[in-house]
Amino acid sequence: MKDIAVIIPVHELKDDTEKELLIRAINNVKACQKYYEHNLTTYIVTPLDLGVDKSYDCKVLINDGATDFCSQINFAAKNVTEDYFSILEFDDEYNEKWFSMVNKYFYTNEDVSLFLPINVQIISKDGYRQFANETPWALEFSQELGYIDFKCLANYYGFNITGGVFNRNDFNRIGGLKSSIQIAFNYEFLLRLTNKKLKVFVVPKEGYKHIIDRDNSLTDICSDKYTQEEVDKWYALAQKEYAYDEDRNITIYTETDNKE
Amino acid sequence: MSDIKDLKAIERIEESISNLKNNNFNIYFFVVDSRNVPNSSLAFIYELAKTLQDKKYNVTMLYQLQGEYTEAELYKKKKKGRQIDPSKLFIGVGDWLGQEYAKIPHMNISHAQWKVSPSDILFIPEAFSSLMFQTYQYKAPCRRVVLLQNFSYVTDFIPFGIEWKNYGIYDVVATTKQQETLIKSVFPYMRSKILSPVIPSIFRKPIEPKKLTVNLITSDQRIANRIVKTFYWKYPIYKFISFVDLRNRSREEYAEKLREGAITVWVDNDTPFGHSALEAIACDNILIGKVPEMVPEWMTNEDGTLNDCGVWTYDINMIPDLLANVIGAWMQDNIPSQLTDAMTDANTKYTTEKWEENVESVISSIIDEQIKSFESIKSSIQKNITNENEGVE
Repeated sequence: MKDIAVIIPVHELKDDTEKELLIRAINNVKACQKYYEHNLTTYIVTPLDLGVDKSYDCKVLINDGATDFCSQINFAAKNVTEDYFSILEFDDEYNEKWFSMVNKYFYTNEDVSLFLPINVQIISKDGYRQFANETPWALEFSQELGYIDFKCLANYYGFNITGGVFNRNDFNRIGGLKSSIQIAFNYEFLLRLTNKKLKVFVVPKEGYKHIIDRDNSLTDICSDKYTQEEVDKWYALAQKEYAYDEDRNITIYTETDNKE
Repeated sequence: MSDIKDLKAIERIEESISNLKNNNFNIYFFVVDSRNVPNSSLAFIYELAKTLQDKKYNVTMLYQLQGEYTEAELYKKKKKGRQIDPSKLFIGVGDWLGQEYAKIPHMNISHAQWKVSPSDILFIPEAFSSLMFQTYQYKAPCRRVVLLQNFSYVTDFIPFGIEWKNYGIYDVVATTKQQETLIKSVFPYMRSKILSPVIPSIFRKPIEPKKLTVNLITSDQRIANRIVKTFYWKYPIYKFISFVDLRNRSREEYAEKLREGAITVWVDNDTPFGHSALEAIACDNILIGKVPEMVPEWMTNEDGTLNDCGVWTYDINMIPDLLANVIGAWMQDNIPSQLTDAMTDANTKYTTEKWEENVESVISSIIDEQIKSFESIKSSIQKNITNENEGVE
């Protein structure tokens, strides 16, 4: 697997707490480096000059274009130099051994385009833990234990791609993430990837930790922003759009829109 | 007249000694038909037979099956499309242990005339007191050696008031020091040797990284259900975990599943050695085991305490909790090095190299003892002849 670019997309830093979280994320990557035999390079992709590059030993990619999550990742994936990259949301963290664990699986699965971790999702209020991405390890979920294939995605869309290790060439070749798919961009990307017979493997290790209920987190914003009807329609749209490599900027219309 | 008889006896003894020295004798193993059900005791016997065969000894497996079809009968039945009675077929071990074991020569002693000579060696499994009796009754002239793997089988079939010396049995090869101690505590006159089992190289650390599956090795389905269902009820977060029941699989498939999986749960109260547990450890599985009634020697330290090559419990109800802890640690790559180091130690105890060395040593010592015993008989006959010739009374 060798060197990996860790991309931290930062749209804005609202307050000191968010700045602290970013510093913590950068330090988290440094902690991962202790267990990983190749280089991990942290890239902050941001529209702003946050002034953290020299003092925190990371690279900054200034993005003058769109600054939604998908556009930031697409921009970074085109500009980093490593063959593999991973996405770290700055309020999340890697298990420090994640990259060394994924490396063990890489050598017997070199043809895999995306290695996903089992994500641990924590509700900070009560400490409740749940997993994401674990289902491919259930018998008969997909055709091969541990793999996400196109067929299993017909009935299940709860996968997270953050923390995953992407083959950069494959990512760029199929068009990256589609901003217009909004809440279902993860799902659409996996459909597109697997439809092209590219492999997605879930490393059976807890590699990534996400706090579900932090204020202003991406999940938090999404859960407030969308109605169930909208969620359903975005996922239905993803099931149509995966056939296209480019983002066609198709949108959805809901009952509420029609009334308006 | 007596001189001629004695001289002929000396001639026969010399011939037997020469046969033993020149590897011109047979080693027989009595076996039962496994009927394709894997069995670690039988696997040990076949492993021993195969190793001896590879060392160029003449080995034959003996079994008893009344009314077994001859090849001609079977051919006729198949040709005419007639029903075949499976109870009249010797199925053997080919499907689960492998063809190289099935190909060792077999003989049905219910049908064929079994001729045995004084230089031959017959290994009898500990449970077969009936065969010990038959070979004693018909004065089989070979050296008879009992293979003792599980002391509890000794008491299963032997009639009350009878012991091995009543069958003229004085030699035993035990698989552990514990078994040897147990047999000598009841039959102190036995000449004993220890031949520790081998964990064949098919059970090895895999090259591929592990899959998150839990292998189950339990003596019956009820125990497996109890563990799995309780685990899912108590730990719904782990409902995605897949269990693989390893009972009744071919050895190749069994080893493959062990190599693939990360964790093995092992419950076998009656095992005297715990082959399956060691096989799992050899395949780099984290082992969660219920301590058997007779604690195998590889599980303990010199002071008798349990060592760290597995996660042990005396209470089957604890297994789901231990399993959840182990899965959690494994998923975070936090398995303690104390455990993995002890697993490495356990793997060095029963290697193929040690096994081959031990087999050679045990068989050579049986042969040497037999030669010495013949020489001693020969010398006492010669002494008799000399005394008679000299008129000594």
